[in-house]
Amino acid sequence: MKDVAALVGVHQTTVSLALRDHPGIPVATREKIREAAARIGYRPDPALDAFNFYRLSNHPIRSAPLMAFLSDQPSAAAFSGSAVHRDLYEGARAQAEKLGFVLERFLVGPGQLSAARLDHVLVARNIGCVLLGAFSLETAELPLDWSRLCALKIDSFHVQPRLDVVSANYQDAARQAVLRLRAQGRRRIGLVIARGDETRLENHAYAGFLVEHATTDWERTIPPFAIDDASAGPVRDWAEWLSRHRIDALVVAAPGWDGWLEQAGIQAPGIPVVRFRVRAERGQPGLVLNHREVGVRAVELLAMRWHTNQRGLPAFVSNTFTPVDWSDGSELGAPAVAEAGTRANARAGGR
Amino acid sequence: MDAGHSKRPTVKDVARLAQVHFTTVSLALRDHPRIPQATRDRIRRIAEEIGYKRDPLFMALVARRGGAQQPVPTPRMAFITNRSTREAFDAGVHLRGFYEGARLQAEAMGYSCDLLFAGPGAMTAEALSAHLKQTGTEGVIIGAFEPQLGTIEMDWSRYAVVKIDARYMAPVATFVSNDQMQVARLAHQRLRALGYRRIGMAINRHDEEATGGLFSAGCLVEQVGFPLSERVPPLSFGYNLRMDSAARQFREWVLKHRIDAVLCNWTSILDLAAAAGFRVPGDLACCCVCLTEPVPEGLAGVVQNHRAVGQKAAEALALSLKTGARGVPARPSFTYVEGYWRDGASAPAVV
Repeated sequence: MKDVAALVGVHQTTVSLALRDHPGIPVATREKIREAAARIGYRPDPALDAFNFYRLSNHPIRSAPLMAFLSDQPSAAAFSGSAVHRDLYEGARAQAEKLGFVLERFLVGPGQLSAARLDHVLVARNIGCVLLGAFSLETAELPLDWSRLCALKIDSFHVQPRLDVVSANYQDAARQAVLRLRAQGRRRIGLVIARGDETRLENHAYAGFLVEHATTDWERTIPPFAIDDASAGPVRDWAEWLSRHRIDALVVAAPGWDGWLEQAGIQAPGIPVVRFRVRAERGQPGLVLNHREVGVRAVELLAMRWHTNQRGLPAFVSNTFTPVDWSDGSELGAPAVAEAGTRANARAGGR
Repeated sequence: MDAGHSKRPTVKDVARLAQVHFTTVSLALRDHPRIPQATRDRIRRIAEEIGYKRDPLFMALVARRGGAQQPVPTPRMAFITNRSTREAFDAGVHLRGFYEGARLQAEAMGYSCDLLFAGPGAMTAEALSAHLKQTGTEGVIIGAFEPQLGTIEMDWSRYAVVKIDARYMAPVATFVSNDQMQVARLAHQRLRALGYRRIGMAINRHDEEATGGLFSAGCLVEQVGFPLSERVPPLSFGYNLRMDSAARQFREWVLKHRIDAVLCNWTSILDLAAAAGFRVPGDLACCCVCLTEPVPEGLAGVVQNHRAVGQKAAEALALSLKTGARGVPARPSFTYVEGYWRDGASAPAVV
């Protein structure tokens, strides 16, 4: 590297930055340095890089680089009260520590940090890595100085700017759910979604639901039932939707939906249900989205970007989906407690 | 902070179990004559049991820091194709793009990326294993294996593996691909914005199966967002279809559904439309959702970013190599790279 520096007449740290395409170095200089490096056959040493990666991961150092986990939850209490956010954050934090980073949470939005203020904080504290953690529909954009940041979004497809996204594979979850119910001979399967989630996830659950039905008999296609707040209990159209479409099975992608069937006067085991779950828990069979693992994967990818100095908005967006698993609810050795009619599900198997 | 210490067994773990000093372990594993043969065997057995092995990356580093005079070999990745020759490989524009992207990213990170041919008549599984072992290659990209060419039976457990395309072919691995769902959605959205109101997707059944129905997922989720009277079912071409029968099917479909714009994954869509007796764009607008740069003159559609896919594959592989992950992951994640829209004379704005 010093040879390259001497040849071009710059400091060796400039060479290092230029070869990692750092935006702080003028493009012309970057190109000049890259040419010189190619001419004398210098290239970065992955052995050294891997060693650093390994060293950092085994010996957390005092000046460990910081990663910011951003959330637009209205308060710390709201954040901790949400299993999704808690699991995302917990996974991200553990993996960050493992890889030699320190993860710190920042709440942004009305009543919290403004984007401008956050930008100052990130610069002042020399934070170069940010993770947008499952933003709500309240936030449409986050205007930060992205050119100096390595950044990724968890879910949050709807938030501008466009960044690479890491998410649980909702599409696959919906497909698996439909396959399970069809294996039981069910043909009038209804999809219940949380309106906010589907928007944040670009309708991925619905896309999976539709493609597994593989029908273009539009007249008979059952529209999804979108709910805004499942915990508030069934809304007026609920029982009507069930009967109008002669629903004989349900895929429920909305959290907090418990009790809706009973309140619509449906006796168990009338309608088998496959639900999406945030994590595997005993007595809660369903498709487990593993948000903790989403957090882990997001930090891995972000660390990779930081090490290869990929800052700024990506030229090409890529989206990474972590796997979804079926759980029969027998975690921790407890006996399976299947929901109404889902006993056969456990044996039906995934794809 | 203990979470970070759980992963790779180190020479010190071996030493503790063998109740010798760690320098003895190091010497024993390098077969130093000063260590009694029985001790060497015992230490080697313990190392094997707990899965300790010397990391070639670190060895390379140590060799260089020690001022070794012989050049340190560049760590390698291999890009394996199941086509048989360079000519056959280069004939696939997408394959060339995948490989170029992977190679450039690998080199930027300091790895080399060899192209290996494992198609019929080329390298057998044994030859491939031998080559990888001989060259010290620990990371492989399985580069868009084509199902009709058959696969190779390899023991992948010794390697870090990332797969491009061919999601349903063994082995299961971290998977990178073009985002076929997104390109289908984007084409629907752009044609709609250009003023088309009866948009149809024509897709080859073979490609649909290879992608696990992602084109259809994208098509269906966009079509259900249109008014009922403006939805068009996709056309699925059969296997080994000849141009004349494809043209006949295509014509019937377009006329039956009064289609004003077609999106197709074939780059020969204009030939197909002409063979079916349509003037483009006078009778029918056409776009291709599988364009590659340089885009053919006048053809609108979505450009797929094969290089970016290769780049992401190399990155994912480097991540596995760095974190020491080997073998087939039980639960791989998927990464999809988005395409981008290109206007063209074949799909002008409706006036």
